[in-house]
Amino acid sequence: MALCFFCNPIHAEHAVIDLRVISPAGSAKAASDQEPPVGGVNPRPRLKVKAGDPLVLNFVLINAYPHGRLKDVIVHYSVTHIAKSTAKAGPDKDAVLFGEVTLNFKPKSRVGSRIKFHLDQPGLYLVRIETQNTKSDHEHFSAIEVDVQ
Amino acid sequence: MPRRAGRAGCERVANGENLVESGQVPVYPYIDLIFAGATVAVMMKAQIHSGNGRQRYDRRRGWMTFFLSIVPKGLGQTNLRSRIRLSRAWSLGIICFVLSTNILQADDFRIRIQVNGKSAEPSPPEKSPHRPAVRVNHNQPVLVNWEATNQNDSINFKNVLVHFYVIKQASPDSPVPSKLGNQAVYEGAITADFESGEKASWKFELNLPEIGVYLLRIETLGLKSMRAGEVSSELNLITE
Repeated sequence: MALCFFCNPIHAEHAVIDLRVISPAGSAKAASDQEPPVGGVNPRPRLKVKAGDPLVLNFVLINAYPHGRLKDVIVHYSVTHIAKSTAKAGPDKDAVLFGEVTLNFKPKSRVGSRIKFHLDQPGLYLVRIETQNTKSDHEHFSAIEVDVQ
Repeated sequence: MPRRAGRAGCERVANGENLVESGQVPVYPYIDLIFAGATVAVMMKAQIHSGNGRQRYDRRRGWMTFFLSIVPKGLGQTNLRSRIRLSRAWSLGIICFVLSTNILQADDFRIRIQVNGKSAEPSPPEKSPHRPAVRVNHNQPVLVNWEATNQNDSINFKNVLVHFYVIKQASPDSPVPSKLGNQAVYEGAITADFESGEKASWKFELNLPEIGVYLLRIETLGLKSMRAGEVSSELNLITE
């Protein structure tokens, strides 16, 4: 009983993320991770593409938190240029693309998107989707690095 | 006209900002009127064929005759003429009810689209008679923000899917595609409950590299069972 009491329900998984970046030569897929620690615990998948290749960003985020509704949750996604691997995503004003969804999450609420884009400048880019304002001690995210050559 | 889809109701332009609000589809009242008229015709025919009122339920005519024979009897009307008169009034009541619920539900779920691109300018309405249009520069990203709100004080809409997409169109008057496929430049969807007063929004930056006409459409799926119909809002983004 004491064990049940001290098990913090906040640590329960509350977002299942399926993030994919699809290029003509292949695709990369990333699952849900969480912060802290900064950058999560899973290594970021990396996708090599050619500059100007038509790319597709595809994600589905499902709220797996079963204990009621979460108000004003933000689902933020962006593609930003980063100087080196493991770097954090830059601000939205420097992003190649970004978006933000605000909604009240009920159990099994979904957010999904499919975006066509292309990266014309060579370099390393971070594709990232994350939850914000879940009033939890951690947030969930998913990230893929795209190496444009 | 696009498939039972509502075109945006009004367009406001202020300080370089374009705001489009969804309106209730004007097609729905006519459909309801036709439906109500057909109901009256069937009811009257069924009533007359029910003879002296002893035929309570005719299987060939279905539930309508059953319904007709029960209600007037319940109101104490045994005379055939009285029953016909009563059923006429009753039918009129149904029409009024259907139309009034439609009017009441006209603004209960609203979708607003906001286009904040600095280079965006509204096109003259005569050039896109079916949809509002916003002219944007193809070299500059367009910031789009849409918001869906349940404005009904008493109804909670459950499991509503709000879907939006941006697709390239041949002309400003091109109809809404019946099947989307992979042609969308940008597509997204959310599923959520909309309790009274609640809203959901999606803000995104849109890059439209090609010159042409793009349709931005936001639509609901799943409202139909809880109100008169689905809600949608759309506009043309014309890149130059």
